[in-house]
Amino acid sequence: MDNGVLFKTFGIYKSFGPTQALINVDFELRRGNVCGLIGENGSGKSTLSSIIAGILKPDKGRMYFKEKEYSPQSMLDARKSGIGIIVQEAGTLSHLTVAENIFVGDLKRFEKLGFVNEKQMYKEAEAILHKIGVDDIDPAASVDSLNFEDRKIVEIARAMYTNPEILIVDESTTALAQKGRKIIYNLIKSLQNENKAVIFISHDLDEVMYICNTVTVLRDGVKIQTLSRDEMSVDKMKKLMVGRELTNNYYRADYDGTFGEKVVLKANRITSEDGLIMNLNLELHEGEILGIGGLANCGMHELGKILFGASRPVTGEVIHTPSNTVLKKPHVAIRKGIGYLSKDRDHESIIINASIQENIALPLLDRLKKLGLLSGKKEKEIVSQQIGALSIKCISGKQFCTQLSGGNKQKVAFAKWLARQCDIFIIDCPTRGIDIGVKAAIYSMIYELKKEGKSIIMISEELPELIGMSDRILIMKNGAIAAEIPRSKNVNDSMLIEYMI
Amino acid sequence: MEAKRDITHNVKTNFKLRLDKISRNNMELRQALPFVGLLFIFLFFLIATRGRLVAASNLSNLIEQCFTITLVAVGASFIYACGLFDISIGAVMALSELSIAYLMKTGDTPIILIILIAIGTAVFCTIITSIITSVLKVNVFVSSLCMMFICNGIVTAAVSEADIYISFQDYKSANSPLLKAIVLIVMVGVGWVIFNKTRLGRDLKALGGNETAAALSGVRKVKTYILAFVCLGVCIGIAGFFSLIRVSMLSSSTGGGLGLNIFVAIVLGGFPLTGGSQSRMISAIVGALTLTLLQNGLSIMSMDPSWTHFIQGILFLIIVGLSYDRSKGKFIL
Amino acid sequence: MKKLKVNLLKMLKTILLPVIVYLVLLIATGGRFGKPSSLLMVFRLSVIPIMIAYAIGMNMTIGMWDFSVGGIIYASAILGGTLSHKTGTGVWGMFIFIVGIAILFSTLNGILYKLMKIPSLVLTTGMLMVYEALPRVIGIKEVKISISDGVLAQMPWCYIILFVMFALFYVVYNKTSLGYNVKATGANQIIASNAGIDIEKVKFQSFLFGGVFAGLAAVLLLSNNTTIRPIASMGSIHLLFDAMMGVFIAFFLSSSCNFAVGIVIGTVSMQMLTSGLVAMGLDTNARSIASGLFLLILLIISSNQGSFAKMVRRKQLAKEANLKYTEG
Repeated sequence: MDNGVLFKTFGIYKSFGPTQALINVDFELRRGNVCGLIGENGSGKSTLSSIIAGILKPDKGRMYFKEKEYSPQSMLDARKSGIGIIVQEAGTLSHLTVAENIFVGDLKRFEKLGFVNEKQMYKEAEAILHKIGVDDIDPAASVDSLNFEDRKIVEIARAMYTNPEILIVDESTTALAQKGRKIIYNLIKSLQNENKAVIFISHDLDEVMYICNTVTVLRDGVKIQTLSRDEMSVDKMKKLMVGRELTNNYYRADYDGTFGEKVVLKANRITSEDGLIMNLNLELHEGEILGIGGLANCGMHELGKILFGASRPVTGEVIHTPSNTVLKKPHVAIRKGIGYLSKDRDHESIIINASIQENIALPLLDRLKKLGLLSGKKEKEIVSQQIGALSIKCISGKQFCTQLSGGNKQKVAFAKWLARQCDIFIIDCPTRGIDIGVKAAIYSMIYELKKEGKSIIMISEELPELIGMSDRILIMKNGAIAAEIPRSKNVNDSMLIEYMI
Repeated sequence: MEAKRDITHNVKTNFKLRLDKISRNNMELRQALPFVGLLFIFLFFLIATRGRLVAASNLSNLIEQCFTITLVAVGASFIYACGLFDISIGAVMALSELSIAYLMKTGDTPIILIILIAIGTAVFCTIITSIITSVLKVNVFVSSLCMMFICNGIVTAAVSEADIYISFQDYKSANSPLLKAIVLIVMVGVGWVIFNKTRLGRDLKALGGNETAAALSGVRKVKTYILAFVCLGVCIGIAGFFSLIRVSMLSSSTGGGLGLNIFVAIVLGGFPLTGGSQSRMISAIVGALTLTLLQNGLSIMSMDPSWTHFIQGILFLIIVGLSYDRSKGKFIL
Repeated sequence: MKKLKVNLLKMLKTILLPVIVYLVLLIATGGRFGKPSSLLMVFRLSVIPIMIAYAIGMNMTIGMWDFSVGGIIYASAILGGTLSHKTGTGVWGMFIFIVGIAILFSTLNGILYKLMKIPSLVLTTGMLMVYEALPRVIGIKEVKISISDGVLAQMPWCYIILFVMFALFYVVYNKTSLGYNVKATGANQIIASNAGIDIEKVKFQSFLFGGVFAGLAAVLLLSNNTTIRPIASMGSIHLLFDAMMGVFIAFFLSSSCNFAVGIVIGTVSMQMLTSGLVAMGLDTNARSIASGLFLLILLIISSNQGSFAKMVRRKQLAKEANLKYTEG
């Protein structure tokens, strides 16, 4: 079998505004290889795969595919050259049929005398679905009638119909249940047998161990190392991903997991609208950092929204215990001194197209009144105080958030609630896609808040963060709390994962 | 080879940096352009009409003409700030005029009551539009379109026999340009304070910027939308009252095209159509003044009205073309 | 068998709207409305709104507004009619000149849209002012054709034109890659663009395609009215709004029937309502109120279909959760 190099990149650079997403990345893929691409959030793995798939263009650098220079202009261009991608959150086009979704952008291939030959389109769609091992999806059905899982399969078919020589799987499996995973695993196997290649991106290192025969580790946009099959182990990969910077003083140093007696927030038997959370009870105490973790679809992000009153639970209620108020809307929660940081920073936490000042002052407007009118002076004072305290890198409070890096945007989002002097913070993935420096700052800030007697609920996908910061960790599974783990030296990742699956 | 690539890369990045800088300057330029446009049009007509533009006789004319559009534009800036839109403005104004026309015919109702009824009718209509939009989740374009059809229908039905005339003599005092100027200045002042110095304006801009993030920061969407439409309704009501007195009749064409004229004024002034942080009330006022000057100036020059519209349309496109924020690129709709 | 049943159900759902409107009016007028002759009249009155609805239908599927369509119709009818009059080319000259000019204008819209990259609503509002004023600006006060030249608006020609244009819209919208690309772009521009659709080209073609129908609408309008005077102050907008109603209803019906058919059904239903209300002895002006309310109710229902289903699902889920709780 020919094990030659199929694909190669030289010195790829890419930056988004002030953030360097990729720095001088050389990457190589051989025939018959399934190469894992791993790294923490923000390490650049999705950026690299997007560049290879033609979604993004590199700032600098060259790519070679089958020994020819390769510079795709679009996703379709890449697909036509033989590189397909299944992305994390691409989505399907509603109102269109399954077949139309598979061949979108490429319907010219079915054109005869200017008309699209529907019969042939449906036939080919059926063939491609059959080839990837799905027989229960009707190509003429509207995608709106499919469930989430089957829509993902339609996306897989979209990537596969051109018979790609390289398939990129970008964290698609996390969202999939058994059926979808099996399809993807089978696809990967058959591509490998045909002497083609796969780039597999996943957070789940055990899955990477199971699927891949090489693995490339990225950290902060830099390629760290490529491991061969014999060198691969979960521990080694983890070490490479996290790097040396991650020592203990990064998180809080103490193992004193004590907190106040007083319950400040209580969830009674709540059930979420999507059914992911069912009859869940929870209590948050004064001066407590409560960590909540679980697999991607365990409903923990929805839980955060429900606790803040942003989502209405189907059953049960959330109570702010000191005032005995039921929290039904965000503005009620805010009035009771609760702040919420969404996982989706750019779309839910801050208004990108507004200045830092406008963002920070927004939840605070009722306190900026002077004779019934907003006081610009007071506003400026509070905002510049927050900018200073959090050392937000900016020219002035008037600067727009579009120009800030991820970490500074997150600081702005935090500043909103700090300026309001909240007592309870519900923070969802507070360090997602943020560089190490800001991360450390956020951790120490959270710890400071705890010491001041504030209460924090920290929802996170990163286990080290949960272990490193929480007084108490709740692991969610099947809509309920599967385990409650108090702070101790002995807690480790595998222990938590055990509870999750 | 490598070096050459590096050089081209450097040139490219430098070029990019320069472009960034240009686009930032562009933003300031874009914001300044409507003012320049207003000044240009003012000077142009000042010269072209040999000063007749600012002659005493025309000044009162100018006030009359700019009164309705500026006042309603101030009200409309509240809904445009959160990215909403209302096409029914003209029809609602006609309906509010209708609501007081019969009372004014007899002439023995206190003037304050009449004004309140006019405002009440307009506010009632705009509140319904806002509820249909925010609570019942119908696209604002459609809900205001329906409101327009309904209001138009009522007015047309009422005047189908004959246009309604009111006696001009009884309300002569309310038709003085001075009074209108004062009312306008007061309303602009109040509007400015509400827009910039109360929670409402900030909440509206936040909703225009990002509805979800605003709601998660404690902005109450439904309440805020309704308040914005109330502001618009108040302005429409007052404008309707004065316009009825001036014209002293009500016909099926009353208020026609006002909604679109307001839209033109708002866009001319550089008000962002998506609302958000860059919404400024001054834009709406500048736009309204520009439009008024343009229409007035062309009519002094005894230009055929169709030429007025023609020039207005082209100028509108030129100013928008120069000042519009194109960051969305080809994804604009 | 199952498929047939589903299709039958869909058909039923589709014709439900006009049938309900018909029956309500039939009862309300005590049988005065609803004779075949009045239905035929309704159908004839619907021809022009249907044509305009097709002119804006593709743009609206993408999510673009075309406010200038009324202006294009008036301008092309007046300019084209005058040209045919001057050249003495009669009906066919009129037809060709008007459609040609309408296509020219819509192409101009498309080019400016691509170049200026401003929202379609803004661009077409500006263009509306220009198109409406254009005939007067070049000095045409009115256009008048002889009644014999208005043959295209009479039976059977108006139906032939309607049928041909319906077929054209149906085929292009459903059977060509332009139609598919339009629907994909309307569903999600970013995904569509990533998948390789040249969305700028699609938008341009959509403008152009709309121009053909605007031209036909202008031909029918001139043939029907025989005299048209230039219009001012955005007075042509009512043409657009009437047509928009039909398109909105077609969107409302889109789950059960084809868009091209939905436009016909929607427009005819609206027209029937109008004529029926007149037959009920209501003032002609009640038409505007009734159609506003009617559209509003339809859209409130369609916008909240999801919320109703959600409510049911929530109830179910709550029951399930409570059951689980008492058990365990």
